[in-house]
Amino acid sequence: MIWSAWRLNRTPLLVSLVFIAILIVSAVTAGMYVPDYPQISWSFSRMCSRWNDVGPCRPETALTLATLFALVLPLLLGMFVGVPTFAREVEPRTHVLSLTQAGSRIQWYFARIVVVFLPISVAMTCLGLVLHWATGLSRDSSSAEYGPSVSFSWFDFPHFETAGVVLGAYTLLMLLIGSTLALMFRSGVMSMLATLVVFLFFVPVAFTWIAREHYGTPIVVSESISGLARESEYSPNPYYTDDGTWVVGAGYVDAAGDRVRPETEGCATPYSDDYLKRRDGESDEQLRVRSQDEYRARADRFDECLRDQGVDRYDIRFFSEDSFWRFQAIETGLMLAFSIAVSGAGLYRVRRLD
Amino acid sequence: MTDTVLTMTGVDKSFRRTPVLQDCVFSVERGTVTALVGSNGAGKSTLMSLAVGLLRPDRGEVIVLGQRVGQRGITPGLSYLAQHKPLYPRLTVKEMLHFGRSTNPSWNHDYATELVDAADISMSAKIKSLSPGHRTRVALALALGRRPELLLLDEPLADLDPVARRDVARTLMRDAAEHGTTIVLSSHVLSELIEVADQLLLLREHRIRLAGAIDDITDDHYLMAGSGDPAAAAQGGSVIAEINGPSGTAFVVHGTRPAVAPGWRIDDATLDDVVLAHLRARSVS
Amino acid sequence: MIRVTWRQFRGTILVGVLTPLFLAVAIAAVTSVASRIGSPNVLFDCFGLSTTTCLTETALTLGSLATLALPVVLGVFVGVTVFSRDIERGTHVLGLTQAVGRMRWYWTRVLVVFTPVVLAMVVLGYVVLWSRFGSNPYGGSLVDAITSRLEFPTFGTIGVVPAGYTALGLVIGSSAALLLRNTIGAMIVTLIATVAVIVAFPTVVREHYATPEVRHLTLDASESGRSVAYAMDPSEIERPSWPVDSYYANNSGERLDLPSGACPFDDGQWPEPRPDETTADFDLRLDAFIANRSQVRMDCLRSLGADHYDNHFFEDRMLWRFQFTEAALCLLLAAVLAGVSTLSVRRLCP
Repeated sequence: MIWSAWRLNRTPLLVSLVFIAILIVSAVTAGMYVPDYPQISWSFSRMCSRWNDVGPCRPETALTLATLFALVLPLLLGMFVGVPTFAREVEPRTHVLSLTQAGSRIQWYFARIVVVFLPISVAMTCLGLVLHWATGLSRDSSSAEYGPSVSFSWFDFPHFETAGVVLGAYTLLMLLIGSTLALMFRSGVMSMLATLVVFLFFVPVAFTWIAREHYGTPIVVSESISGLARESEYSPNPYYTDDGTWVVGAGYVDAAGDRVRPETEGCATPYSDDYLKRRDGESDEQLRVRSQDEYRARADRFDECLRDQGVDRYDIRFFSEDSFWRFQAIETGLMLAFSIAVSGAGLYRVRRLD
Repeated sequence: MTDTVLTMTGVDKSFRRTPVLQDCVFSVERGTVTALVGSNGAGKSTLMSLAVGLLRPDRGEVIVLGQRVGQRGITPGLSYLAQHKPLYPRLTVKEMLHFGRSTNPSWNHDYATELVDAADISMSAKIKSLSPGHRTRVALALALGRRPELLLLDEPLADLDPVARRDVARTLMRDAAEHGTTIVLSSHVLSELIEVADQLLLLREHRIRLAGAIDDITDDHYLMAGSGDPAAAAQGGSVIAEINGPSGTAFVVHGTRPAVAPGWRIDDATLDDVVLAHLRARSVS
Repeated sequence: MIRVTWRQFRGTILVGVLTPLFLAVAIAAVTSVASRIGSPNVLFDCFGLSTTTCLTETALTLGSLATLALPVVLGVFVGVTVFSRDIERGTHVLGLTQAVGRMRWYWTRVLVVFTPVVLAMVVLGYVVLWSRFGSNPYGGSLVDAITSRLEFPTFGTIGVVPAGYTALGLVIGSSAALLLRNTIGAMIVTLIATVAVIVAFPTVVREHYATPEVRHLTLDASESGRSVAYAMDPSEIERPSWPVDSYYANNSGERLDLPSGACPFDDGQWPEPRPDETTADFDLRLDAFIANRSQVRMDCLRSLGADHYDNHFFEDRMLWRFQFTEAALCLLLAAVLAGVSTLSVRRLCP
């Protein structure tokens, strides 16, 4: 059984492994060149803009492309390797040959899983770890004004999905989904379409989009209301962080901590006519003090207006970056649990195969 | 002391409420060559799939070589050649035999290779480039290489030219004679089977209508040609059907020949006549 | 012949037509709901992965990006399967042995199946255009206020261009199926080739559809470091143009390739406000510093031969001209490719 699983599927297996190896080598090479350019900080989508650019944009391009491929590979592998591994035999009914040799149906099913799906998933896990190492090398930067910062958070898209352990779990899940659909539909093309649909609207895309922020309890930091500043034209964006923190929610809350959406339109009072305009005989210092007082008074009135609507404070809910590996583990576990369920469905179909 | 290798008792099988087999009962004895006959769509492939374990009966029991047929894989000692001769198209013949060897613990590689060589098939040819006749020979080699005690063949002679048919029939006979393999093969072309088989199973309208040794069956039937009511003249035998023979129409009757039948001519029935009549007959029940 | 083809490919045609139409309806619905409850100026402004923020906006952005992916998906699942299913089962022989002849069999199939799909993509392209740029002079988002509509990826999601890409993707798929006669291989080739086409158009081809406009900036203006004032009235704002090239030129207008790092700005010593200085005085000092800094750089550039700075760009008003050019180019390429693959049809054997 093992030999026939290898012999019948050796082309897609080898092509996939070679392609993943190329990505790993590119990422490793890029990572080795990154320390030569300490001034760059890579973020996804930085690429060379011209064909023969040299210098730091080349490792950046390699990392961008490797990440891009890593993002779509689970789906492509599920469609073009997972589905045909079983559809190739079930559609023209040559599986009857295998099922009438010594060895049970379960052995036939698992031989293909072990010989084809496991090596590919392991290779993808390696790719994920290599991407984590390589892209992490040039993340740090610092500036004189703002101190140390990172150019992206590990929680950002597409880094969480590609630069970690969970990449291998996605791949295994997609391979199993493709194979189970092939056992159900018996038409290769229908199974591929169904794999695409499941990928987008069930797991992993839709599921992780909704579920990921619930893997843990976010840390809550309360800030003062500061309504006037927050509703101004260039308000600070609480979702933008430069230390890798993942902010999942920010907003006004009442005393119990529940979200409140107040009407902010009517809370701003107009400036006085001589705001920031020098009155006769006023010195610079007096002008400055008067302007600050007026601003503070307007801010207090704004906050009062919000408090009347039930607002107590401004809460920011976030996960700090050191929860990254914990979240990776949880998501990997979830994907593996789905994999087991999907594989069980596949086994059920195999038992009923004729 | 009879040694049955395949038994079915009370087997029912339906596909989406269409009954295919109803209350099938028969047994096959070791060392026999059984011909499974029936018109197209009668259920021969279904019967074989049930024996092999590819399908599960809705009711009843299937016992092969003393073991109940289940989901744990094909009963060791049983080999099956499906109607569409499944082989892996991109493998070479040599790799196909290697598949047989690596999948089966009891595999006689020399025997399988000898069968392929005898058919003049190149070992390095790809399966998809072989003619239908050669494909059947390779598939047969795969089935026989397992050294089975019981061999089930679903329409093995269908795609073959006359020469190949003869060769395959000869291979099967040799295997049965040398190794005592029990063979069950199905076909809807009777003439091919007669030379090969010594037992008959006839399927019509979801049931086994005839089962037994071919000689016994032909002895139990006779032809009656003439005019009048055949039922009266049969004196206790049952009239199966009317057939067109070489000398005009005749009735095939099952039972002991009457000593005297005025106005009727009594003849021996050939297997052809018997099978044709049974396939034509409309059931009373 | 037409009716038979329709009957045989009913399912495929329906999938190919309903997917873009369904996406168009979804985008239209979300757009009209969102513009009623929020400001139409920020529809594409944010992209969030949490369900509590930006749900509508993210959905619309994803929907319009799906418009870019659809030509690939349709090429793989409609273009390839139109022929691959028959070839795999050997039933193409049936088509080849009728009275109509191979060519008619081939062209009927291609036109009957592909035309409705391409038309559905036209509808989708216009819906995306309306959704993103319909009622909003800024365009849909901050991105649209800075990046031209002529650029990737926006250009490929609006108007007639998605339909052009789809036509090309479908024909690539059917040609690959006829050439390779292996479904999986044809699908992978179609995937790669269609993506390559969608990437190649904006990077290599598009800038040659017309001659770009040139704006000459004196060195004074380009190195001044002064910020540009902006208008507050939305109706005065023009959509951004697409810069395709920019370089320093000498006084005969030829391009100068300056070594990188030549004439760096001297950023060493930005002045800080002194404690006893008034704001007005500090502003004067700062302006003088900036002017001096620019002057140093300009002198350096002039010594290397630079006379002025040239910007080559296309204005947004070229949008429709470029749309129809690119769509026509796609259709032409599709027709040529379909014609070439008739060679495969001639060679087709059971």
